[in-house]
Amino acid sequence: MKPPAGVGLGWRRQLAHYLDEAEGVDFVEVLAEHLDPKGALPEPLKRLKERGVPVVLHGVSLGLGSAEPPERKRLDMLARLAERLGAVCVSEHLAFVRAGGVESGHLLPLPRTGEMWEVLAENVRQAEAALPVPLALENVASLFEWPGEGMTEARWLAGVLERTGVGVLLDVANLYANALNHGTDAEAVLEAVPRERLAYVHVAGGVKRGGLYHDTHAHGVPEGPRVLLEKLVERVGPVPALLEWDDHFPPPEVLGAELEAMRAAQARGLARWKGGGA
Amino acid sequence: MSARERLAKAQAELARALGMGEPVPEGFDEERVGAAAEALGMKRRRLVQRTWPMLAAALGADFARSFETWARENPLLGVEPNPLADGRRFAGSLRTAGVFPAEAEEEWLHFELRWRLTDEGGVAARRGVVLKTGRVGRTKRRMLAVRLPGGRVLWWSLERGER
Repeated sequence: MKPPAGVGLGWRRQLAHYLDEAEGVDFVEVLAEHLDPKGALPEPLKRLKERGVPVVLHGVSLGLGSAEPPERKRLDMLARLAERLGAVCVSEHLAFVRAGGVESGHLLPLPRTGEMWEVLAENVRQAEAALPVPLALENVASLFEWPGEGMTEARWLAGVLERTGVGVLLDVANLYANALNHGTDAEAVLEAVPRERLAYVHVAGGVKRGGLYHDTHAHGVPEGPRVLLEKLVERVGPVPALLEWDDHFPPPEVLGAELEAMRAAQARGLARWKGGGA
Repeated sequence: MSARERLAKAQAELARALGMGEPVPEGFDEERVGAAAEALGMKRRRLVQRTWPMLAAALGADFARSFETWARENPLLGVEPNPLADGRRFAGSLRTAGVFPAEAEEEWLHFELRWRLTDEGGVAARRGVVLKTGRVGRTKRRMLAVRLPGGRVLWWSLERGER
């Protein structure tokens, strides 16, 4: 199947009808946890597959940043779903989701330490060995950081890339959130990812509440994430970007406008890209 | 201690602080971790509220407080947070305590006819014919519900002179 390109949208049941009719969606991402590993694929998803729309399988519950190695049955389930979907890649997160028998129900940040690098690299190796397609990992947003972070997010991500062969799903909305909430140098993170390691980009909306920016996936996308997308494309050339919307789904024209705004940001960046041969 | 053991301990302390209201581990910004815990709790509650609308409506203003109290002692189980299962566990605790609202009986029956809780904290579809009785609706009529293979549910009134 052809790799993702252009602008994509996260597949959700509530968006299935929109995706059936939409012309401007070049690829989709399907949440592994929303599919029945034993049952049939939802019909609208089968239709997208038949239309040749590239599909990425996105997981949220593997917890590759856990102290424990990834569970065999979770990896097997992802591998089976990736094959049935004909997925071009599997994406997961640089996060942990459970520890000591407690399920957090959320993507929790990792301590940026050398020890974390080693544990993560070993977990990633095990996951890659079990999956039939390439793996890409996503940077997460968090309202808090681990104490005594001596390493920047950019340096830490670069270290992950040195120690593994994994691809990057760069979430510019998470970067934007961390820049606002922690003063993270978002542009340094963009620069830490070489083009050949970059799988695609996530864009999502959020809201400011109580002095903090919450990455809700349920509000409009502020200008910030699109500016980061534009800067990224200016540096490395064409990069596929996907909009995530999980709740309070907007009318089709609003979704369409969000996708067009992403396309415009990509175009502005591309116009200034030095590698374009122009 | 190995790197994995040290990490396991630190991650478990943080997970318990976030999900179960235990003390925030030393060095973390308490206010920020508290904000994250609140956002997580709200998300969990909202998902259950949407999956169990009759139960949430029947409890009304008490739902949020009652669910949060229960949720702190009953963290999510070892699989993907499944709001249908999470809500069923909450509903089960209300029944055990004898405070399950009668107005939500139908929702409870609907779950029981179609699903059962798994040990991992998810749900599995029931197979074959399932029979349940319960008092349903505002009039609390005693009803028999039969789930047929394939998923269709038929209801009969068990009270005289009615159907």
